[in-house]
Amino acid sequence: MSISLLVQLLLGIASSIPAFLDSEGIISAGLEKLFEVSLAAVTAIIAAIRSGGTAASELQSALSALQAEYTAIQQNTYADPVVLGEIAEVSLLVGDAIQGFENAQTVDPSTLPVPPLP
Amino acid sequence: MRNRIFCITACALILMCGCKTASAPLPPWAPNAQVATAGSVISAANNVVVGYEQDQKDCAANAALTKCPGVSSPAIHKAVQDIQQALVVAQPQFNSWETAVRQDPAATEPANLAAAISTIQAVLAQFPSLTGK
Repeated sequence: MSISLLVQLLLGIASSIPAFLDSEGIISAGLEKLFEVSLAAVTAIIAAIRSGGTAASELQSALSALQAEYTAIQQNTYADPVVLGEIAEVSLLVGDAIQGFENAQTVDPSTLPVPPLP
Repeated sequence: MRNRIFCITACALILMCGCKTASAPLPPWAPNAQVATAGSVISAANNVVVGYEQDQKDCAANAALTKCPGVSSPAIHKAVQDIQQALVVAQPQFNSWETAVRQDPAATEPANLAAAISTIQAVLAQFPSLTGK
């Protein structure tokens, strides 16, 4: 993936967030967690790019745009506990996937025990 | 709306995976990039199952937590089970393949491993649509 395409996609993500606010006008506490996870992922992207030594400044601009939208989202509330719970759990699981992906940079996956059936 | 929002996280994850493949240095344990990529997916899947287990324990201890309706969601539970079952197939094969590549860099990836990793990736990609079911 080229750096320019990556930047374009990140900016697309950032610009789409206000549309969510327009469509429902409400954002949940679960979504705050979701966007927190998203930002962690974007931060990881930047770290990866930096390790390659390219285009960090462009990506930092995209991250700044995301952070500005995230700040706005934090001001909103939402009340459906079931939906909130689903969003929160899926967000946590995506966060777990991201963390596992990051762990593979240092921990050999062959050393991990297969977890039991939940 | 929920699906669109979760696409943000999915896109971020996909972007991150792409960047890792393209620009991150090879992990010290990995004999080559192909093994590193497969291992990264396995590590991600493993952490999802472990995390879900922990969430189940958390909710058994305190059902009032925000995440608990999601932990008890049949759709989310099935997705995690599918990942665990793919891991049961993938992980032993990955271990053997990693060892084989160290001895012979041309050792090919087992077909069952590739299929299991594809399954894991497909289930992870479903995450954005797991709410509201």
